[in-house]
Amino acid sequence: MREFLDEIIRDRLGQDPASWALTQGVYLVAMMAAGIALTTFGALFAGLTSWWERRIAARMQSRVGPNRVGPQGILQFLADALKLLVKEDLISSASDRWLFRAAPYFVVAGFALTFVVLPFGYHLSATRMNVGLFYVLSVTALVVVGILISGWASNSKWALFGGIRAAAQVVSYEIPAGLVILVPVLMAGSLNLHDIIRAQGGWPWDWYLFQTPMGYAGFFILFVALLAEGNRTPFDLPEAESELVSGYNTEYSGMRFAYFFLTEFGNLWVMSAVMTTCFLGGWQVPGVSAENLARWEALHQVPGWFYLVSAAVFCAKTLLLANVVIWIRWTFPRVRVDQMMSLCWKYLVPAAMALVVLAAVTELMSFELFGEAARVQAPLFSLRGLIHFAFFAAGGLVPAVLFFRKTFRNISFVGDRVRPLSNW
Amino acid sequence: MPVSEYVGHIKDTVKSAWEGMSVTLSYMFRRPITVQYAGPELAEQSGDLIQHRLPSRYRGFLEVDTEICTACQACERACPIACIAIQIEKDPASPKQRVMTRFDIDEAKCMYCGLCVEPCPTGAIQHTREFEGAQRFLPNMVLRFVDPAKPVPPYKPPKGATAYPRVMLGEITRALVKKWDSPPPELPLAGVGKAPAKRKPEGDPRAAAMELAKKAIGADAKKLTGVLEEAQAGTDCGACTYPTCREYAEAMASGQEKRLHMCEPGGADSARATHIIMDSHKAGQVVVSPEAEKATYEGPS
Ligand code: SF4
Ligand code: SF4
Ligand code: SF4
Repeated sequence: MREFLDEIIRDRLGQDPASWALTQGVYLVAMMAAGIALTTFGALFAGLTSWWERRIAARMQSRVGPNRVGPQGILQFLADALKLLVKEDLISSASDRWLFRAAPYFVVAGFALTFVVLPFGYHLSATRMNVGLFYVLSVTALVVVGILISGWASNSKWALFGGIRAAAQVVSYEIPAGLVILVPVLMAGSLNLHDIIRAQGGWPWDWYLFQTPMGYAGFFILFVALLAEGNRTPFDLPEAESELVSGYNTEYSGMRFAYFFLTEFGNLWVMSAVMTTCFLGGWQVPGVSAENLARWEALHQVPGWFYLVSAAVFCAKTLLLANVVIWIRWTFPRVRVDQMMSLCWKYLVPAAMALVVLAAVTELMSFELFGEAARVQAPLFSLRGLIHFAFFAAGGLVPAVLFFRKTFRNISFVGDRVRPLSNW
Repeated sequence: MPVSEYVGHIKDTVKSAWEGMSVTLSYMFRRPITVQYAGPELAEQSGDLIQHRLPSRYRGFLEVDTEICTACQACERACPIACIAIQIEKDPASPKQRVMTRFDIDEAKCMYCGLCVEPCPTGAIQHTREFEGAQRFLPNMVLRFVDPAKPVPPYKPPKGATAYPRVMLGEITRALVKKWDSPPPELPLAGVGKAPAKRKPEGDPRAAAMELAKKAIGADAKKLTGVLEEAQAGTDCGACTYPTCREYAEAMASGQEKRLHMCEPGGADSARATHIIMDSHKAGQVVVSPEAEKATYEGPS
């Protein structure tokens, strides 16, 4: 972002950014603008997702869902927000007032700060921090601090249970997540989110998901771990409605509750974006190879459409993944606390550990054998390219076809017809 | 944990995810089973009232057909959260006649449990399939089945009747439910707050029972019946298994009915008074036996 601003100051304003007195001011304004734009994006996404999730949930339960406010009910979230805004801001007299009030800000901060590094497309992100992935992992830890504070400060047993559960859960699942995220890092040789994306390619067989068995297994482990970290079903123990009323946010009302709510839905984007970046090729556009891009960059001639298309590709992948998360939520029942713990410590942690070691050994060996060339994506019609394609077919295409066949069989099995768009 | 079990768990997880997610996804491609609610205006235009599609035992807003309400107040007593308010007064025109001046049901408070419907002797109070009652002003949710300006005399069920004529279920309530933004009623509600009609003699119930007992001494069956009737609550609710208080009193006076404690609304007072009257009638002088002292309401069983 800084280079971009310097460029503007130099080319448009005709000043030298190093000596111009107002440079810092321009930086400040740009920072504010970017911050507001990103948090607005996060909030809008969270709001729209809360509506979309209800629609999807309804369809999966053979209902219609909210379709009254605005076309297809899309403005439902505005009505909800308005309702929450005018609600009384209750603070129970037995609570720790300051901590109680502060907790939502921790949660929102942990959520909003991730947008500093999250990419949206080619060269589209607030910063291209060189420790981006590490940064994401660290600031999301703020969320659990907020949850723990809210659970403690509410002075309510439900909230406390929820907070403690959240702490246990998030701290446990940070370990497999932190380990397995090293697999793409090792493969790309960078913690910078943009570099990880650039090390992959546009076509699905160029994604880290389908490049090595470690990537394939790592994808699922990271997915489960991030689900648990985001308190999404089936790991929504901290707010288990049937046991804890609403968990850590039981005592909150009005806008303070809305912050928790917003974070929960906004985290859908964060986790999906991280997954997309690490394993699904990020903003890479199919057909635009790394050489192509490098040539454009060398000539300073990256076409405008590439920015747009890459952003669209990234958003499409992220939204698809977010929908899978929603789909999982309405499929699985909540796991028990002991199941949640044993899944983490007995299955995910050892597997993640093994994957990291394997990935490190593989990378080292291929580097020894082929040198830097091993890092570059191979074209489809080469030995490596064909192997990757075969892996994509076996691990992606065939299961997908089988899965959809099974899905449509489920429909004909009960004598129903396929009517996807009826009664929306 | 043996390795086979460990691997088995992983296999189970993958398999159940595979199966379960294909089932939920399949619903995305089907038509939802629920009916699209059109909203009150649209429904009225098309004449396709959603109410008619609801199951007939749907517990919607309550409806009271005051034409066949005996003013027994059994529903009022049955309601666990006091949604029903009935007020009975002496008709100023003919002092012997009792009239209902108020029959309000607070549908905003009601939890639609149906407990008030059960004891109604005539089926005057029923659940309808009406449910669209959203109101801008909450007091508009109180349905007033009796206009205080036009009091309603209680219904006297014909002897031996088992079925009672009733208007089409839902018509009365539908007419009472107001438009969502209609102005709130003036508070306090008209006709509310006046002293309720006294159903029992004023003052000490014991003294009243003694008075009645004196009248019973040496009385013939007819007079005894009258005295006994006066000792009951007089709501004709049928809780005593007799359709009206009069018949219960007749049965006791003739000696057929030995259970003297079955008037539910009258409670312990009525039971005690009935005992004292019967004992005094037999003994020829006012007696208060220990049993009479202990008498309290007991159901027919
Ligand atoms: S349905 Fe239940 S709550 Fe409602 S008025 Fe009758 S007894 Fe009371
Ligand atoms: S007759 Fe039915 S509606 Fe009337 S007071 Fe008795 S129980 Fe209530
Ligand atoms: S005597 Fe029977 S009908 Fe009369 S009020 Fe008592 S219980 Fe109801």
